[in-house]
Amino acid sequence: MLFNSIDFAIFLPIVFFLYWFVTQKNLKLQNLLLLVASYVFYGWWDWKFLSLIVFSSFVDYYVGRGLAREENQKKRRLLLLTSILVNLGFLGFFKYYNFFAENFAEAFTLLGNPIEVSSLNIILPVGISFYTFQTLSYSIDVYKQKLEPTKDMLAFFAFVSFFPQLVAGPIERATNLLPQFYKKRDFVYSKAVDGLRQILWGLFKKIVIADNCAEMANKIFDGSADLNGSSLLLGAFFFAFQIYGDFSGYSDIAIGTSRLFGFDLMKNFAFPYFSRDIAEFWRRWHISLSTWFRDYLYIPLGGSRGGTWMKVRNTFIIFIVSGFWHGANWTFIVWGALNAIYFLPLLLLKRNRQNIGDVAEGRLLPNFRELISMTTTFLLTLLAWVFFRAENLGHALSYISGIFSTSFFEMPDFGFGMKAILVLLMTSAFVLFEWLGRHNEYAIEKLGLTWKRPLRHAMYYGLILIILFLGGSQQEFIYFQF
Amino acid sequence: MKIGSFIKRSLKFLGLFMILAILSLSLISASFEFLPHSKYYGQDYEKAFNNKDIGLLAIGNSKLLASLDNTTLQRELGLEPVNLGSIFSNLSVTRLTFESYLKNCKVMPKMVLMEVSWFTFNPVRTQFNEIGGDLFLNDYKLWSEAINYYPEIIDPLRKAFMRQVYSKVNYPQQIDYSSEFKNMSRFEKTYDFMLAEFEEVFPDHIAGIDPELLAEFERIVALCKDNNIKLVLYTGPEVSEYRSLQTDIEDIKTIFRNVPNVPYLDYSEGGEFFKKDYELWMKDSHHLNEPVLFSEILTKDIKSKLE
Repeated sequence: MLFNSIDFAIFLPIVFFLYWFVTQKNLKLQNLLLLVASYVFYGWWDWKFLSLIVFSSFVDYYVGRGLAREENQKKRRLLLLTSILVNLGFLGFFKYYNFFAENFAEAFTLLGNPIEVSSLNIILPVGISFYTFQTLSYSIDVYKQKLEPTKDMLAFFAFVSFFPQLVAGPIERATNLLPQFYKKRDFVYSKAVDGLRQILWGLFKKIVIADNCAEMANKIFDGSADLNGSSLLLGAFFFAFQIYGDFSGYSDIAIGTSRLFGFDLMKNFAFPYFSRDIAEFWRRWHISLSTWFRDYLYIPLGGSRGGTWMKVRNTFIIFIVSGFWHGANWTFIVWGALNAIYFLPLLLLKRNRQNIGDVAEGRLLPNFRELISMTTTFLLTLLAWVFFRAENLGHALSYISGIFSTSFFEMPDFGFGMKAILVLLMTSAFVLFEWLGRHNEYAIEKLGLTWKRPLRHAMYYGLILIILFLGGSQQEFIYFQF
Repeated sequence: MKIGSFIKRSLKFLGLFMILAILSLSLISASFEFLPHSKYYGQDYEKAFNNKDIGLLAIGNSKLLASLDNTTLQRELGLEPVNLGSIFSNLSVTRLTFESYLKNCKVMPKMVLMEVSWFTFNPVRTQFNEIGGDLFLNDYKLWSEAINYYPEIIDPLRKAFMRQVYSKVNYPQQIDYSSEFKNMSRFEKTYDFMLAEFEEVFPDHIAGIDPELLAEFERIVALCKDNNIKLVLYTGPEVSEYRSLQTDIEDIKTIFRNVPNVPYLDYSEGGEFFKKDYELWMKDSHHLNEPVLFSEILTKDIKSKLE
């Protein structure tokens, strides 16, 4: 079920009503309702793949129970290995089998021993990269004794499949989300209203910004061979806002929806395009994934301790794995590696934590230096997004060489005329709102709160009208494919 | 504050919004007019839904738009014609157009001319397109069916609404479908068949028969029968490269041939009325560029078939 569909607009009030009016007195019943609702939400897309979530939940629940009982270190390690193998096994098969099969075949062909490897017609189950990481974090935390293993099977299953964040995150840690399933949830008016506001802003980001930018970006990337440099740069710009609006919009809707049910999810985006360097960008972009890799991969590998070689190795590993997590294609690997290259100088010069707070703290506008560093960082990410969006490496390279050609100085021309100008204007207005609200959880968190109610409601009506009438053609959320 | 007041306030907010939405829709519907559009002949829709006593309705998709000339149809068949085709439209849109007209007309049309082809029942090549939104804004009686076309109806509806708003503020209007005809020779083939584009839509070279679209087709046939309207089906010319790739063409043509008491005129390869020369009149693999020439031939054949 898509968040931006009528199906979800009907589904959400029904679940909300049952949750607060029918099951509110019994925590177990509430959790059961959330579990059933989550399975309906997921099964709406394809009920067959529900079995994967159920199986993964079973495995991690019993691994957790086993880890609670077992004191023998070898057996504990074996249990953890079972969880890792099952979860990464599913992920590996559904997401990476064809990639490895085809690349093996190509490698053998290059070595002069062509082999036949049949690729399979595999459908990637929606959200598999998200919920497998979420359950893995539970098993690892229990193994490291950072978390008490749960005895409440229902709460655990509801935690794994919690519908607001099931298919595209934020990837919650068991330490944050699971305990919320043990406690009675009380309805808090201000929290629910705030949740609705965040959902509205998320829908705006997705339907108005991302879907409109997608139309432009698709056209430019599909016809990139015939376009001039300035059009190609504009295409990368549109894609940058497509992916940001799409994914951060989804996260806003997920967080807002959770708040309607009394849950608090972690923040996933913190205005990343206002970052002053790449290190700051990665602290602000897809925070739940970045911190997952930091805690479960980077730090166990040694992190930034040790010598230069160790730092370089770990940085490349984490960024390349992160790229590969996004998709089984060399373009994602290069995207990861490129980000590692951007990040390394900062790490080696120990300047990776120089920009911790918000930009232009206490000021309306950034100073010249901040403006230059924000622009440079944005342009670097723009270049990297080309690899992320391109069909293959050849496409990405020809796209980038197209940008850096003499035709860059020509006027952009890709056949969208007035519509492109309208989308640019809307994107600029969006950036302005984001800038003004950059110290908040989301841009309009505090906008209009002190206004009189009719005026505030008029603003919400305005947003709804813009969503209804200026939205782009419905596109799937990009991160569903990961 | 309690959940009760949260729900009360939310309902109030939504209620007011719904009232405003219904008011705006009513306002737009009350002053609705079909506007020029590159994907159809807006003036023909306007004529049909305002005159309400049209003699010949031509319905279908872009192949119909490209193949007919109203002046020739009127001269040869003696019936006032309108061309209600639109690019990409599927049979649901075609049926809604026809049914909406029938519900609102003063006198039933005498004839319905419908272009059908290999992809008529294909849900990718044909879609619930933009004119669908205009139809719903023009005719409130169609709203009882809106849910059947969710979610594909949303985008056309939104665009139709915006077009109406734009027209009220003198936003530049589009040129109609006639701008799609090209200045090219009628004596030689001057276009290239794009296999890659074809395979993007039909990767297995199969158009298939979508059951819902088939049901819509049967409903059009039934509407004609119930209202005593003469239905004529035809398949316009197609170039041989395109025709040779249609793996399941015979399954689809069988449907058209077997409609009881409905003449089917087939101008594509293998059809009763096929001629190789028609290939020279095309602007691409399956769209004609010579509607006048083709309409002369089609009307002559209709007359002889009906005799």
